[in-house]
Amino acid sequence: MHYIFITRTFRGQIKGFRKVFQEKDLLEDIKDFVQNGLRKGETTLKAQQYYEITLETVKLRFYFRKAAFRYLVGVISDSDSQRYIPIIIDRKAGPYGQNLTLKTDKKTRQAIQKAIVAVMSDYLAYTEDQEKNKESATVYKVV
Amino acid sequence: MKKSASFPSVRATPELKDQVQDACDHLGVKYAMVVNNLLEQWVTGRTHLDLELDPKFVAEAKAALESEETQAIFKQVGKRHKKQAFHDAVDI
Repeated sequence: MHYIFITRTFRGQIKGFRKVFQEKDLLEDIKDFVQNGLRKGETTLKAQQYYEITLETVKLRFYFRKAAFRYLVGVISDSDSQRYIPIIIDRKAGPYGQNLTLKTDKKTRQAIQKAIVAVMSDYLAYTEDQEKNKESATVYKVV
Repeated sequence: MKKSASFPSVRATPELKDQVQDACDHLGVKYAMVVNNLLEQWVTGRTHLDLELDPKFVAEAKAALESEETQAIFKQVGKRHKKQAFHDAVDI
């Protein structure tokens, strides 16, 4: 089973890009990664075992209406399923452009760190009690 | 007579520059010959070049992944993980 979790925090981030793409457009991109693996310019940043799961973080790239983005996705794998959790998305001006959202290195690191903690907290709340914390995330099943 | 053209100069670390220069001296070839040859191979598809398109972003992301806060939340995710079904999941 492959599940994609769009958390409340991540949904807030992509709202900032709603003039360029919609959530469904990014979902299609993640679905493509789920089905076909890493594409050109995409990499695995880290993979580590935590108790029963493997948590891998990948950097993906997304092109839509001539806009280029890179984004991080956490992939949680256990023996039964894989859960894909987008963490942070950043827009690039172009292949050789400067990134627009994250200005300096220190800010980039802090923003990524903050996003990881917020997104994973949403994910934890949702998986802890799906009924009570419905708003923490929306889950999509890749079929 | 064929016209010649110059490529833009390239930047490298002093260490790499010395290594390349030493290798050229050792074999008695010119640096430009090596570069031209490599570029030809790349253009004709004989050499695969794997470039990281977001080097700064990746470096900062890796540093963020190593941080204490990130490791702490990842540990929590591992510790509180449960196998479960998501009945409300939307098919895509």
